[in-house]
Amino acid sequence: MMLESKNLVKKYMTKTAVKNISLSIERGRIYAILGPNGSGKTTFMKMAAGLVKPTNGTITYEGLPIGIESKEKVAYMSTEPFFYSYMTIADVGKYYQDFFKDFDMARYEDLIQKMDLNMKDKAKTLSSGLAAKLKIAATLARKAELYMLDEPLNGIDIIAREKIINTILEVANDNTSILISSHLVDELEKIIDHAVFIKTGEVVLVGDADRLREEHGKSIVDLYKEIYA
Amino acid sequence: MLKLMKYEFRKQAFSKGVILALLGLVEVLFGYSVIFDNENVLGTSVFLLTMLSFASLIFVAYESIITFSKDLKEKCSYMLFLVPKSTYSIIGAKVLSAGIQVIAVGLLFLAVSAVDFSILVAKYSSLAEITDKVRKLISAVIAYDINGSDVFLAFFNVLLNWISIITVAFFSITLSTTFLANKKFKGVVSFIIFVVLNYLFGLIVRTTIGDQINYTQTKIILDCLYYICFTIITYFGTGYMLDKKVSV
Repeated sequence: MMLESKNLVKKYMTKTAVKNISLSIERGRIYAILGPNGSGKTTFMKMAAGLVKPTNGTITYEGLPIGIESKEKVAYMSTEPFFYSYMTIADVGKYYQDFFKDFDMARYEDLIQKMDLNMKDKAKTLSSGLAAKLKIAATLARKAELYMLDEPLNGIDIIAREKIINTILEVANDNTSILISSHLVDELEKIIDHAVFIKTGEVVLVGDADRLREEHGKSIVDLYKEIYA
Repeated sequence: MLKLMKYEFRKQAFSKGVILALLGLVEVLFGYSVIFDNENVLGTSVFLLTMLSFASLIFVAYESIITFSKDLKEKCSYMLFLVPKSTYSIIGAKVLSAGIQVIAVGLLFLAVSAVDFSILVAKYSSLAEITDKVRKLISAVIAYDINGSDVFLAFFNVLLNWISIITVAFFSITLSTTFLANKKFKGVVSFIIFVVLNYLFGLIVRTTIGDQINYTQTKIILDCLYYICFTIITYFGTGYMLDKKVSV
């Protein structure tokens, strides 16, 4: 088991963002964490990334608590832009190269070119679509074991979405796992192995994507509509 | 930690450029006043240099604190807290880079002031006599003969005091972001904690080593040791809270 959470809880003031989530993420699979905005997807991912500390429960990576070791192997991409305002796209690459042993600068340069970005451009001046592409390029240029992509298609136009999805699929192999959170379910339907439906901080349905389709006689998109309508 | 420090310097590089540019302008003014024997401009340039020295030192410390606060409260915190480094390394890099910047700026202004003063002494011989008299007067007032090592110790003391203030601020901000994360007015509470801690630390120093007017080298050294202790306590406290409680 790569990532495992047991009875994970996160409370913010009076709101409980995550309620008793127990999940196991296996190697070599693509997971979709599905749910509308505010359902707890981001909080779960941030706890897995070590940015948010759980209020209760445990979350481990390869049996160890989230920490320095897991951060070396997990590449997390947040939904918000997070680069320092002074940074150019080239600076972002240098920063990742300085801190992540698994960062591949040649791949980063290649992805930047493919995404029609310019190394000299400042990260803070990019449009939301280009900033989203930069986040994806920086994250996927790492040769991580687990990729966690929080709403990777947000702000990306329909034409570019396919390119992004293909880029994500390029890093998928038997040794890596990918967690993608999104409410754009149609885009993920065809690529995921596993689906996790989260509603108001709780897992309401989880399982192998093919099995869920078979058991419920519905596509993942239709299941999503049924659960959240 | 060196890589973390590199990025701390980079984050705060712009203000150092501004300080250097302002210092350059003041020195141009000073040079003009010396060359053209203009006493009014000389007085203005010395006043500006003094003000700029104090303002720069205060700003450097303030900027280190504000940068830390931003690194906890803004989205760019992900850049820092996603890297596979311990929270103690992250805080250590911040404290060291803040200390180095305070030293560098302090030494820069000290060196520029020394050079300017030497130029003035060379040009106006009466200034040397006045300086000697002032030194004797200070020695008489504080009942102690000032020498080079005293000046060095005093500089070191101020530096450690400055660094301890920065780490106390880091501690207070972290407290507001972690243990007090769910409380209202956490910013105000953290500022109160900052003031109270500095007051308590000052009280400990005053009650144990006495009034600071009658300075001796031993007293300054004890003072320095206290600041080192306060820095260590608040550094480890901050690192612990970031490690166990921080949510960004």
